[in-house]
Amino acid sequence: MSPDSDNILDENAIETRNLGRKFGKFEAVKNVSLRVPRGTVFGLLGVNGAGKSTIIKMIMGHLRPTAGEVRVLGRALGEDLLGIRRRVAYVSENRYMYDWMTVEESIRFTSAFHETWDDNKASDLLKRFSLPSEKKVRQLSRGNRARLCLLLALSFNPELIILDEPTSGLDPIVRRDFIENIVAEIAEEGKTVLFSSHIVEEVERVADYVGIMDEGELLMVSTIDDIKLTYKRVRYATNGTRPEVAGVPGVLMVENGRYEQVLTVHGVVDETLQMLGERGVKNPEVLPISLEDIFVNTVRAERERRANR
Amino acid sequence: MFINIDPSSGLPIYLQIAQQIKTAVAMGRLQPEEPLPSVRQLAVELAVNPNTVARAYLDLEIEGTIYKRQGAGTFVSSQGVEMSKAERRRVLNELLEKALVEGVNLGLSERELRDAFERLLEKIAQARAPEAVGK
Repeated sequence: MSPDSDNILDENAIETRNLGRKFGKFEAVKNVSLRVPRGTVFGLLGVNGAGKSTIIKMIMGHLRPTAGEVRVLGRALGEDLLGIRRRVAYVSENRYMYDWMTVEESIRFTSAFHETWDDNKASDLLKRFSLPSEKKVRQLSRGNRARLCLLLALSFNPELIILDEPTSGLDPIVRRDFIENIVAEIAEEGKTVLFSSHIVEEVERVADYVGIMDEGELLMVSTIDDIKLTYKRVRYATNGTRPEVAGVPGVLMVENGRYEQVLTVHGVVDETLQMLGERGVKNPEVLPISLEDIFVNTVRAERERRANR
Repeated sequence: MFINIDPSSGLPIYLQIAQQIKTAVAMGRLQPEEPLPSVRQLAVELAVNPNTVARAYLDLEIEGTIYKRQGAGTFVSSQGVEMSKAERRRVLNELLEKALVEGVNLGLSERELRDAFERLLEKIAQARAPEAVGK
């Protein structure tokens, strides 16, 4: 769609280097280097206030970084902000919409700004979402307002879709609408999606990559499949004496039950098991671990580390 | 096609899809030469990333459970049924291993485990005999 050769060579749709943002003394985003490869879905996961929205605002050019830089679709953001905005869709609860326009008017209004606007797609989505086209935007329910926002974002065939907490506060039906339409969108080749969420299930379902954020820092980036295949729980009975687990490779966390011990292990499960065997552990069980557990454990471990600093 | 995805399971979604299709073939719920939905259709239906469905299909294709016909779509292969015996063994091994580890951890001897296994197998075989009704 875009003829620029430099974009084709650039395999990342989004790249940030040492990105930072301070508000006075408060550091909302600290030294974040993030890459979103083209054609993938990247889920940014973090609790409210982790810095996800601030990063997204900087990527959209709505907020100036106080450190580092952002490249979007192969261009430095300062270089061609308007050109980039024509190719990037932005969906957010706080996205400004003209409340006094009707649904139909705001569709026509938005279409005027995009050469790539697809009327068929817009009317298709209008029907699928059963949006009342005569109603004023200000009269829409929260769910319909979100649907309209998604319609406006998808109808100009963007190369990159950025969604900031797209489904927060929406009921399960609207959420499912959102996810299905975003999935259908990605299924068309070459589209890239970055979305932030605090709902683990949602990220798990649709994302190729997940980035875990807390207190302004990006703690981990991985593919969801790698996470599930490389993080495990190891459980065994302690039979009176707890084995020494200090120095056992790959152990991230130890939970002590009354008669059992449960380890959260990363990467080198075979080595971990061998070492545990040498320390007298019998019949350890290797169990899968959910992204939710990994998220909680990663954030907790990092907060403990900070507290002890 | 009925596939049940549990995003919060520790098993990657592409493996959940692949295993459930294999199980469906093993059970005869999917017959040889039966068409499968397209990657896009299944992705939207399950509300999962299309890359995930594509990966599951690729794995199944490499294993020979399904095959692609240019322009026509994806189908269950006839050798898929043969393959499914291995799949049945895999499912059984997984379940047995869990039970046996649990048994060992409970402190049962090898002898006791074998006895328990034999007794259960006998009981199930009797229950499945033609004259028996239900379980």
